[in-house]
Order: sequence, then C-alpha cells, then structure tokens
Amino acid sequence: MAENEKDTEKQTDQPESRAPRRLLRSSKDRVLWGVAGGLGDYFRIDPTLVRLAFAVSAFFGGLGVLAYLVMAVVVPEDDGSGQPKPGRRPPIWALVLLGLAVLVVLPGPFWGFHDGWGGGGWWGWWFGPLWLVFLIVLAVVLIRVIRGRPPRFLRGTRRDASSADASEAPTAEAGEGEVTTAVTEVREGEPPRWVRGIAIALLILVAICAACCVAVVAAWATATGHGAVVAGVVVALGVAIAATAFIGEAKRLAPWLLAAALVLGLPAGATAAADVRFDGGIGERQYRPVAVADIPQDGYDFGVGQLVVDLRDLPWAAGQTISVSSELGVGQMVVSVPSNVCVVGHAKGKAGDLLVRGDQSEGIDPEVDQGEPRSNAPRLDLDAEIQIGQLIVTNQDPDEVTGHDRDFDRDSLTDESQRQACGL
Amino acid sequence: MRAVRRPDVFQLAVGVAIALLGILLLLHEEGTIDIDGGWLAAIVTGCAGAALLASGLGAREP
Repeated sequence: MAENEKDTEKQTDQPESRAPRRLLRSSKDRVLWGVAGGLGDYFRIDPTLVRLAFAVSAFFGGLGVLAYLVMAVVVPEDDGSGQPKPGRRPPIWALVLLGLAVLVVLPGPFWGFHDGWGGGGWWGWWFGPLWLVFLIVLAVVLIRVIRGRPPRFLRGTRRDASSADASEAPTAEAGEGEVTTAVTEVREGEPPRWVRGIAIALLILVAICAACCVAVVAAWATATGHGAVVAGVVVALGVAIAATAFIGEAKRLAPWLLAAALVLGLPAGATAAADVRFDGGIGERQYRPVAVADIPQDGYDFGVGQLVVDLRDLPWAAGQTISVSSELGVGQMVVSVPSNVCVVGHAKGKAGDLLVRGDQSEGIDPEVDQGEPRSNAPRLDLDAEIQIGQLIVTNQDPDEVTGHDRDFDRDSLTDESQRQACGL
Repeated sequence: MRAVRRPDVFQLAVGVAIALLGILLLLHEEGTIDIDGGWLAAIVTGCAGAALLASGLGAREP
C-alpha cells in the first residue's frame, strides 16, 4: 500500500520535474517584495540565508541592494499557485528608487575620497553608497506603512484590536455583521494614525535627502565636464512631460518626471551659470619642473584636491621671466618659488583665500595683482585661478604650508623677500 | 467616430519649458551661449511664468 502511494507520487511528480521552474517573487514569504522568498523557493534553500546574503552584499559597494531592486522590478510576482500574477506592472516609485540605486554605483561624490581632500568619514569608500541604500530601504518601508501594508516586522497590535472588534460583532444583525467584517478587512495590518504621521514626515525627509543627492550628482557632473549628459536628460524629461499631456494614462507620471527634471536641471544650471569647473582630476598632485620645457604650454589644471607646483628647481636667471598659468577647481593650490624670484602677474578666485607672497585677498571674488617690479631679479609671471579654496604663493617648502593634520602659521607667509626681490 | 482627446495644456507647457531649459544648458555646454546667473534666473522665471499662464488659460476652458 505504502509502495503504491510512493509510485503514485513519483508519477505525479514526473511531469512537474520536467517543466522548467519559474523564478517568481514570493507572495507569501516576503519582508519587502518577496525576492529572497522567491529565490529560496527556486533554489530550495532557506529564504533567511538569501536575506542574509543580500544584507552582507550591501557592504560590498551596495551591489546586492541594486540586484534586489532590479529583481523586484523584473521578476514577476507569484499569484499563489506557482504562476506569475497577470497584469502586474512595477510601481513607478520602484522605478524611481531603482534609478537612485543606479546612481549609487556610479562614481561621484557618493564614493568619497580615500585620502586627502574630503578624507573619508561619512563620505568614505565603504559608507558612501550605504547611507543612500539605507535611505532607499527606509523609503520603501515608509511607503508601505503609509499605504497600510507595512512589512511583517511592523505589523501587530492594530490587527489584534480589529479582530477583537470583529469577534464581538456577531451580536448584531446579519447585515451589520457583514459591514463589520468589511471594516475589519480594511483595517487589517493598518498601522495607527500616529505611526502613519511619523512615516509621512520621515518619507518627506528621505525624499528631500534623495533629491539633494541627485542634485549634487547633477552639479558634480556639470562641473566635471559632463553637463551635456545632464542637459540631454533634462531635454528628454521635458519631451516626456509634454508627451504625457496627450496620453491620459500617463498623466500620473508627469509630477515624477517634473520633479526629476527640476532636481537635475536647476543645480546643473546653477553650476553652469557660476562657471564652476572641476575637470582635471581629484586628489593630490605635485609638480616639480627642473627645466622651463617641463612646464606645460597650457598650464597646470587640476579639479579637486591639492595642487602643488614647486618651481624652486628651475634655472632662474637675472632678468629672465618664466610664465606659468595654473587652475584649480576646489581645494588648495601651492606655488613655491626661490626667495630671490619676484612674483608678478594675477591671481583670482570665485571664493576663498589668496596669499601671494605677503599680499592677501579673501572672501567672494578674491583677487591679487602684483605690481611691476623695479629690479632685475628673475621673475615669475603667474596667472593663477581657483574656483573655491586657497592659493598660496610662497618661498617656503610646500610641505611647510600643506599637511592634513596641522594648520600652518599664516604670519609666516608674510614675505619680505618679495619686496626685496622686486625692488619695491 | 472616436473623439480626439484634447491635450493637457499645463503639462504641455511645463514639458516644453523643461525641454527649453535643457536645450539652453546644452547650448551652454557646447559654447554657443554663455549662461550666467542673470540669464539662469530669467530662464527659470520665464519657464515658471509660462507654465502658470498655461495653467490659468487651461482652467478657463470649459
């Protein structure tokens, strides 16, 4: 008898084993979108292990979170019978969050900088992408709470109270009993009003943070010479918004597209209008030419960080003028010359601090002009420009005025040798 | 005969304004024009004004 039952099970199992198994998001075993539950079903492993794998992978550049979001959008949901649920489209907010997740893996300010300028910390390599991933997951949870479908770990007391109400209801007439049951179904899993209020406030905060992140990316891309890409996206969004005017079903997309266009377009426009340029590299760069031919024709150009141009090894001769132009986006630029060299020329910035051999200018649009020398000393004709930061032209060793761990003595930059060299 | 649906004037105006903003940014990147702070303020204000005007005109239509 038992053998017959086994044979029958084998016969019934055979057709199922031949049919390819489908990867579906679980509708029963889910914390967010059922991706881990679906993978657990598909590979016949404990879904908790899959969730742990996703959590651990989040610490490796956030790629696991990105994979989860992609699967949440791409993989169809199980209708409960092992078949995909028909007519289910990914929600718009899921696509928006997916777009944000893609931004996480792109290089940019999210990744931070290892050494030097910026110095890691909150913006460091490991925690740079993770904080945005945290925002995305928080937003998902909050949206579900607001929609009355909180994740399992947030469900609780309200459902019990509703069930208690329902169990007391049968004392009324049959018609009222139906109404009570309907109300119970609506309230099932719904969080208390104060929880929804906090969730809405937090969601607004998350949305503002996410918008700021995207705005920073847009401004950063524009400043690093990729503004055409941002502008192209803004044009595409504008065309898409105009297209929604003709398609009734797409009307709900318009606010999202408009928000994205404004968050991208306004910072990019402001960056372009301010003419902020960070192209040229990031980090620390040091140049120490030993011959005039070593100085680049188009000058030194650096994006963000620390630029040191040490000109002390050049063969300076009396009456000789060496021209050097140098440009920096954000950070500190140090130009070092021998004591007997008279620095002439022009230095300017958009905001920051200029210290040119004793002359100083700081604040917005700082500018230093060195007058004509009256001596026959070797001259440096400097044309220096910084966007935001500090320019130091000194006769000291660059190491004396740079360094991450100490503030240099500004008074030591008061340079009498400049007056002597220029005969002023 | 199937009725032709009238487009949403407000959305259309907003879309055109955003596309215009993007085109101006593209021209700036290409070096054809030079957008400064004053230009940007004028562009944004103009776009917002056009969208509001279209919204008002759209609301008056039956």
